[in-house]
Parts: sequence; C-alpha cells; structure tokens
Amino acid sequence: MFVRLVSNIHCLVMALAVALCLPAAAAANDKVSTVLVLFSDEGRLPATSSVFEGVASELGGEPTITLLSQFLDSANFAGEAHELSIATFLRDRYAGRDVDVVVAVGPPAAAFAERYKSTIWPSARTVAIGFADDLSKEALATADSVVALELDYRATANVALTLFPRTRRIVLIGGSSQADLRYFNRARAELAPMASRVGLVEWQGLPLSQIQERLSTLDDNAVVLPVMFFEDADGRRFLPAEAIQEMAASSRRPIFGVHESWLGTGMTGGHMLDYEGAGRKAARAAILMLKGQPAPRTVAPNRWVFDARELTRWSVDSGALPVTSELRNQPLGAWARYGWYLVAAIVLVSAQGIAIGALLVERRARRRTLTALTQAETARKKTEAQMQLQLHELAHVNLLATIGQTAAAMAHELNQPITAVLSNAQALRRVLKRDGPLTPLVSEMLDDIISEDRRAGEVIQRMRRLVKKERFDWVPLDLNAIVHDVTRMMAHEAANAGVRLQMDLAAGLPATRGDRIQVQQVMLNLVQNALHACTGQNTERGVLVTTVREDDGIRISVSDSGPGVDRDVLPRLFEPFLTTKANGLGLGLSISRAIMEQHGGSIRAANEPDGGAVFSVRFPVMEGV
Amino acid sequence: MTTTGGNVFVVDDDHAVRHGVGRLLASAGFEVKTYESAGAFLADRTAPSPSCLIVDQNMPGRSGLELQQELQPSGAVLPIIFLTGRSDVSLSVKAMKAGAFDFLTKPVDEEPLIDAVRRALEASARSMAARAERDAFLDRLTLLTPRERDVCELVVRGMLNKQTAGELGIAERTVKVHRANMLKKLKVGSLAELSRLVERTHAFATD
Repeated sequence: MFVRLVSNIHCLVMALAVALCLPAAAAANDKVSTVLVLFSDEGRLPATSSVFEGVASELGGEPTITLLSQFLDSANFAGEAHELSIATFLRDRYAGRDVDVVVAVGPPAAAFAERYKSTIWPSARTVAIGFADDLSKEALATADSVVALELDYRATANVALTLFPRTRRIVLIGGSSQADLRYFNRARAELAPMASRVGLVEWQGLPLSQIQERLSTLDDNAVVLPVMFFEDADGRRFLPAEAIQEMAASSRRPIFGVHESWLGTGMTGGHMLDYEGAGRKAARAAILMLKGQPAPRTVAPNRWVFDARELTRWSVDSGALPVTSELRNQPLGAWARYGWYLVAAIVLVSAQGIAIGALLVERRARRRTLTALTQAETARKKTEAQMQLQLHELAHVNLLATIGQTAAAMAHELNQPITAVLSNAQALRRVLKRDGPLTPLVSEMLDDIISEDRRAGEVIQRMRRLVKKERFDWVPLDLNAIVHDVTRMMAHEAANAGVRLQMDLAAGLPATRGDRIQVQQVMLNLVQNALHACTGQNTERGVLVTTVREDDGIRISVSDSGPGVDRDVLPRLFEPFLTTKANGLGLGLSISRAIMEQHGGSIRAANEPDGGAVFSVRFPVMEGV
Repeated sequence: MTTTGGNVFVVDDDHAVRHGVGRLLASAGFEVKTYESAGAFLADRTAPSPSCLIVDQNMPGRSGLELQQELQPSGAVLPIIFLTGRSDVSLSVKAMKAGAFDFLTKPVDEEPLIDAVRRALEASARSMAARAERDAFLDRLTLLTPRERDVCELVVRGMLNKQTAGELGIAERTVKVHRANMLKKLKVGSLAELSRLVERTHAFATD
C-alpha cells in the first residue's frame, strides 16, 4: 500500500498555486510588441537555432510580445544588389507592421540592420549579437545594445593542460577559407601568451586528408585544438562539425574546442560559447528596451561542457574538471526512457486535465487554491520550528522537480481545450452581437469566460516556464550526508506516524558523482514510501536506512516493518502509473528508477524473509573522484 | 460585419480547436472550411480563389510542415498561417524559412488571428492578380507577328528606333509602324509600362 511518492493531488494544487502567485505583469498592458530576429545565415547552423531558442525561451513568458525571424543567407547571396533586393522585399513585407526591436545576429545582419533599418523598421531599436571585432564600427555605433560573443580558447587550452598533465604541445588546426583565417588569427593571438609554457603548433592551409594523416601519428605529448574549419586547402567545403568528426576519427589524441555543436563528433570538451545564453541576453535587452529602459552592452556567457564518453575513452580524471562542468552523453541513455514516461504521463493527465481545467476556469478555484496555500503555509510554519529552513527548502525543490515531470505534459494537453474554449466564446460573442440577443448579462458572462480562459492560458505558460529545462548538475556526492539530510527532513513526518526512523551508515565511503537534488528525490521517495508502509501496523513501527560499500559501488537500503510488497505487484513495481493509493499517480518509483539509471546505478525491491520490504539503490564508484 | 473575399481553410486534428477557430473566423465574415488532416485538405482543394490556410503544426500523419512543403509551388497564392504550441522553436524556424506567412501561438486571441487572416487573404489576392495580369499579358504576346516581337524585344532593351532599324535591317519608318501595332495589340499605353510588364513576367527570360 505504498507505491507512490508525495501526495500527488496536493502537489498539483501547489503547482497551480505557485503559477498563480507569479506576478501577472503582462495582463495590465494590452499592447502587443514585435521582436524580430534577423539572422545572417540561412538557418542551418546549430548556433542559429540555439540563439533563436534562447530568445524564444526568454520571451516565451511575455504574452504581449510577438516573435518573428528572418534569414538573410548572406553567405550565398552577398553583394549590394542582393542586399537591395532583400531590403525591398522586407520593406514590402513589413509595410504596416510595426517592429519594435530587431535582434541582429552576426556581422552581416548587424550591418544590414544599420543600413536599412530606417526604411524597413523605422520605429525599431536594435540589439546586435556578434564577435566584437567582427561587427563594423557603424553597426556597433548605431546598435542600441550589443551582446558580444567571446571564444575562450585560453581557458579551454588551460583545462586541456590540467587534464593531460604530460602535454608539451597544443596543435592548432585551421581551415583555409577567409572566415577560417579570421578565427585562426584570433585564436593564435589569444593563445600567444601561453607559448612560454607549452609549444603551439599551427596546422593551417592543409588538405583535410593530410591533417588526418598527421593526427593519426601524434605522440602522447600533444592535444588538439581545432579552431574553425569551413574549407580545406583542396577547396572541399564543410560544416565545421563534419570536419571535426573526420579529424576525431583519425586522431590519436584528444580534441578540445570552443563550439558546443562539435560535441558528439568525438571532441572531448572545452569552454563553450553559450549561443542560447547569448539569445537570452539579447531577449532581456529587448525587454528592457520595450519598457523604455536603456539596455547595457553585455557579454554572452560561456560554459564548460564535456562529452562523458570521451572522458572515459581518454581515462580522464573527472574530478579535475571545472566545478560547473556539464557532462553530455551520459551512459545508458536514461533520458530517453525518462522522456517516454512523460509521454505516458500525458495519457493519464489528459483525463485529469478535464477536471483540472474546469477547476481553472471556475472562480471557485481561486478560493480553493488560496485555502491550499494557507494550509501549506501553516504546515510550513509548524515544521519550521522543528527543522532547519534550509532543509525544508531542499524538500520543496524536490517536490517541484517531481511535479515538473507531470506538469510539462499537463501544460501541453490543457492548452488544446483552452484554445477551443477561447475561440468558441469569442465566436459566440460576435454571432450574438450580430444576430442578437446579446443582453448585458450574457455579454458579461461571455467576457468573463474569455478573460478567465485567457488567464488559464497564462497559467499554463507560466507552468511551462516553471518546469522548463532543469539542468542536470553533475557534482561529487557524499551519500551519507544525503541520507542524513533526508532523514532530518522526514523526522517530523516519522514522529507523527509513530515510526522509528534510524540510520546505519558505513564510515569512509568513497564519493560518487551525480545530481544532489535528484538523488535526494530518490531517497525521499523511498523513505516516504517506507513510512507509509508502516502506518497502520500494530506492531512496532520502524524504518532503517543503511549505507554499505560493495565491490565497485555503494548501496543504500531502506527497510521497513510494514506488510511487504504484494507478490503480484512486485515484478511491475517500477512501471509508471502503477499505484496502490487511491489518489496516487504511481510515478514516484518509475521516476526514481530513471534517475538511478541516469546515474549509472540501479534500484531494486524485495521482501524480507521475516516481513517488511527493502528497497535499495546502488551507485557506481567513480575512480579518482 | 466584416466582409472579406476569399476562403480560409483550417486544418487541425483536434476537432474542438478546429471548429472553435473555424466558427470564430466565420463569425468575423470569412468563408471557412475545416479539415481534420492535411490529406483531407489536399483531397478537397478546389479552384483557386484568394485563400489562406491555417494549419496546426503538431498533427499525426502529414504534419503542418510537410503540408507546407507539398504546397510550396503555390506558396505565394496560398499563404500559410501556423498555429503552434510553445515548444516547437526549431520547427518554427524551418517553417518561417520555407515562407510561412505567420506564426500564432495557442491559445490564439481573435484580434491577431483575424488580422493575420485578413493580411494573408490580401496577399493572396495580390499575388493572384499579379498572376492573372501576367497570364493575360503572355496571351496577348502571342498575337504579335514575328517581326513585331523582334521590335518589342529590342525596344524593351532600350534601343532607339534607329538602332532597332539597323539591327533588324529595316527602315526606321517600318519600325515605327511595327511599334505602334505592337503597343496596340499588347494594350499598353507606354514603353515604360511595357518594360515593367516584360520584366515582371519574364516574357523574354529564355533569351
């Protein structure tokens, strides 16, 4: 009787409450503003999609902003004549359509905006995104704000030296096109100060085949840093990532770089330009401009990203990675599995969605939500007295993480009926206005339906923002400390249920790596399930959490004095939506399993011979952490 | 009530959304037809009149984007407005690149929707008119005698009567006669108008 997580209905109400509480800034202002993203290329480069996603995610929460995009494809259509024809076309297209902010991505777009803005988008202000030394003086001077991109070759090279301490030479590889050369010179200048510590070898102006040949015979004292590769000396043209893939396939030594789109091609990692972050910064500048405030010039963020498979391949000590590093290509592909659960969640949630949708539209919902909030608030105050505030907030983060999985699916599914309600109500208002009778009372009711439905739509948008993109944080973990935290968080609940909650922790456990919040979430699930299993028992109620060192792993077990798991249920225990609780969603254990797989670990359940159930999770030990 | 010529086609697999959006546009005075899939829409395509297409991006079977690709050749005549959830940024980029007329997010409010449809129908009417003008001009062009056609081509290239006469080896007076006949047959009032029509219709583009 305990296959579930936290009280789920309660969670959903909490999620709605949180969403409702966010300031409804947009609702007051009805004017719709337009932001146009003007790209230099034709949209095929991954960086372009990333910038656009960044802009869209930041503007996503602003219902009064329309987002448009336009592609100049300046690489294939250069020259004044082309530019003029595009300008004429755009002038006609945007005649009578006000654009408030133009975000120009890359030097050609920035130059275009500088030249033609007054004709095409006369009332617009501009944000330029680009490498500061690529943007023309005129573009820099006329743009109202600039998001400068910086490629961090030096930090990347430094990390390469740290991870491969025997390195004596860094091989810089550059392609043969004009653009390649510009990048290459920039990298060379930036790395020049390192020449006293390490040899800098330059391979530039070579055919790719020759580069591959040389890479295949590199000695162990070298690492490779390709700078940019659009074209080789034979005139073969590439998407840079394709060229890097060919290089990585023949290279005897690890490859580092500063472009995130090269990850997955065999590159190990580096300090990557965060194009999405650049897009977000540009969008924030646009929002400031729309509010009539000055938008300062900013620098786009960079982030540390590494390919887990490559780290394993080169036996890199991952403890030496910068603390904020993100790891891609984690083993087991657990995210795929995780995603499948979400799809499955839609099926269930669509049923619940109808009920909840009605709740949203009903005015009564507000009162109910407030009551729920008040209850939550009272409970919070009560527990605060017994627990540290910090721990409680961690628990809350866990709660939100769980809700996140279901909320994302729910938001999608509810949006359809909300769309249909809005259109029907607005159609009805028009029909009645024309054919009658639109009495004042009917009119008022329709207006209420429309405005409440809009509000429901906004709630959905906020929920989407709330659950969006939770980053997986990969840090060293002390599992004993996590067990401590979790038992402290649950101490109050255990006491209320009359359950003795005990720990038996092995000393000197090696560290493992993972996402602390997610591991906490798993442990909270297991302990909470165990507590539920015990309640209702007449015998002595107890839950024991133990940690044990195993051959090449660490096991945490949670055993309870409850009745054990029903034997029919046991094999299907970790399937989604399997629940024995009347109001349970049955997602807790399936989410826990997905989290454990993502950590390269496992989870299992069994019944003890002398009664009670034991759930245990196993983490791999990472050497050298 | 608003009356605007032209057909609006709404394609969405969610029947509540499809009918809701359809009713809203009908109540605003548009001729609306709804379809549950891209296939159903394609099977029912009727004679061209100014029209626009509203299509849901996430549909089972042929997606909105695939429908757009299929209709690409007639893109200008049939502007496409996409309805989309928030999560489809990369698809949006693709669709805009392929010439989508507009992009609206669900739930969509009446003003932006009606405004987009009105602009789309205007654009459709404009490009149909341009196409009709072109067809008519090309028709009239066939009425010219070979000589008149030669004269037309040279005149359009900016040659003076004297040059034209030299080029074709005929008298300047004859050129003038051909020119007058040609302008009359083509029903154009001035050389400027003729040049504009020739350029817009690419009448001699194969040369």
